[in-house]
Amino acid sequence: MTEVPPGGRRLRLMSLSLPSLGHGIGLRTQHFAEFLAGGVAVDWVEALSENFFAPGGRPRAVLEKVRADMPVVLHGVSLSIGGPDPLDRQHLRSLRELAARVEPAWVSDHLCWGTHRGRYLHDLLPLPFTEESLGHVVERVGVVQDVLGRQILLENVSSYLTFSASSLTEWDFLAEVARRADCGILLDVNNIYVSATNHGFEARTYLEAIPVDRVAQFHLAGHSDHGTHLLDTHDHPVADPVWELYREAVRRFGNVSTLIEWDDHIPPLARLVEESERARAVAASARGQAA
Amino acid sequence: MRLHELQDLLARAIAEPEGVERGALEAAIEARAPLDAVARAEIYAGMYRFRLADALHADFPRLARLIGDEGFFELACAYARAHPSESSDIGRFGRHLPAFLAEHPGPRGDEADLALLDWARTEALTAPDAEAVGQEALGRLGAEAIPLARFRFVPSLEVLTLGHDVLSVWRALEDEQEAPDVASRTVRVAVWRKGFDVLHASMTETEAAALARARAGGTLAEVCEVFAAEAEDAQGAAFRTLGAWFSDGWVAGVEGP
Repeated sequence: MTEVPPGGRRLRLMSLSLPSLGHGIGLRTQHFAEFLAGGVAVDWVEALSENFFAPGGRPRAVLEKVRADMPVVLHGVSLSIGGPDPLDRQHLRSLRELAARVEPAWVSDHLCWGTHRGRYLHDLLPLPFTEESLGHVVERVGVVQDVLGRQILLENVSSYLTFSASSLTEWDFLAEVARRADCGILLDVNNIYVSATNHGFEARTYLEAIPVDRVAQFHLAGHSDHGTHLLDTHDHPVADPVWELYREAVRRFGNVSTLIEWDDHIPPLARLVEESERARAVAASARGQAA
Repeated sequence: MRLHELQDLLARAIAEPEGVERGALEAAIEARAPLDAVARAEIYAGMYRFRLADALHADFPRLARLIGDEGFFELACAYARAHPSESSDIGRFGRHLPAFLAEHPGPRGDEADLALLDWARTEALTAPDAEAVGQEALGRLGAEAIPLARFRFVPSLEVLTLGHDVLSVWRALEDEQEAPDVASRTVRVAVWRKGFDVLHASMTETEAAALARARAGGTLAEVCEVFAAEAEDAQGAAFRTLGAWFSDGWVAGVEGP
C-alpha cells in the first residue's frame, strides 16, 4: 500500500459529481440464488464491503456476477472514521482491493466510531459533536480518500444518546465534515427520523441544514418502536413518517440514488423489490410536486 | 471531557458495564425522559451482546442448536469478554471459540470438537477459489513421470483432529434430531468446498498420514508407501484413496518432475 506522508499530497476533489443510479436494494445472502439467476428488477445494489473481503467462495462469485449486470456500491460498517484507534490499515487495504475488483459507483461508510483499544465493538457509535471531533474526523477522511484514491460518502447514523460535551448540532457537524473533508453524504432518512424522535429535534430542520450538492445517496429502512425509544433495526417496512420525510428529502435534494435496507427478518426478494418500487413512486410524485 | 475520554467511557459501558460508575455516565451523556444516561448507554451494551451472539450463531449453527439459545447466548457473552473482536470483519470473531471451549468444557465434553467442525466449515465457505482437476491430469504427465508427480490441493481443504467422533452429532443436529452421546476417541475429519458446497468426511489414520505426506510435497510414490503398512491390498487401498481425492475435488493440480 502506498502510504501518504504526513502533510503529503491530498487529493484535490473539490466537488462531488456522482451519477444518480435510480432505485436499489441491499445485496443479501438470502437472495444470492436469485441474483445469480439474473433478471432482478432493480437499478443497482449496495454490497456490505466487509462481507466481501474474503478471497473466494460464493459471496465473491455472486458479487462479480451482479456487478456484470448492474451498478454496485460498496457500503462499509467498520471504518470507524471517528474512532480513537489508528485507522485499520488492513481494513483499508482490503477495501481498496475490493474496490479495484468491483469498480463500485462509490464507496461509503458511517460518520461514527466503533473501535476501542484494538477491540471492534461492531456498532455505529455516536460522536460528541465538537470542534475536536470535527478535526479528528476530517483528518481521517483525508487519509481514507488518499488511500482509496476516491471520495467517500459518510452516512448519518441512528443514535440513542447524545453527549453533554456537544457544541454543534448533528446536522451542522455532518455538513461541516463534508465541507472540510470534501467528501459526500449518504443521507439515511430513517436514521434522521429515529434520532429526531429519540432526541426530540425536528427532522425537517436536519434536512434543511444539509448542503444539497453533497448528498449522493439516500437510505430508507424500517425501525422498531421500543416504547421509550426507536431502534434502527432494518427489520420492518419503511414507516409512514419516514416515507413522508423521504418525500421532503426528494423535494430538497432532487433525483438522488435511493436504497432500501432490510437486514433482519429479510423478506422474499419480490417484497424487497416492491418496497424499492414504492420508493420510486414516492420520489416521482415528490419531484412532480416540486416541479 | 476530551473525545478519547468519552469514547473510553462509552466503550467500557458497552463491553464491561459492571466496571463503570453511574456518575461518570450521567456527567457525559444527556438524560432525556423517559431514559436516563445509564439506560441510554445500556441500549448500546445490549445491542453489543446480541450482535456478537448473532455472529457466533451464524458461524456455529450446530453448536448453537446443541447448546440451546439461552446457553449459547451465555457462552457468547463469556467468550466476548475473554476474546473481544479484533477484526473489522465480524465473521472472524469466532475463530477462538473452539479453543475457548476446550479450556472451558461444556457438560457433554464434545462441544469444542463440534465447534471445530462448525468453524472449519465456515472457513471453507470463503476460502480462496481453485479449480479442481480430475485423475486424467495424472495421465497427461506420462507413465514414467506419474510416480514422481506431486499434488497441489484446493485451498479450502482442511484436516481436523477431533477428540470425539462428532460427525453423528453434526448430522443429527443438521436433521433437527436429538444429538447422540459419543465416546471420546481421536478422529480425523477432512473439510473442503466443492463448488459452493462445503463438505466433510471422516478419514482413516492411513489416509490422513498419506494426505499429510502429499501436502508436505511428497511424490505419488512416497504417498503410496504410506499404504504399505496396510495388511491387505495396499495397492488397491492407495488406488481407491487417491482416486477419491480427485473425484471429491481435493486436487487442484499435479506437477511432474
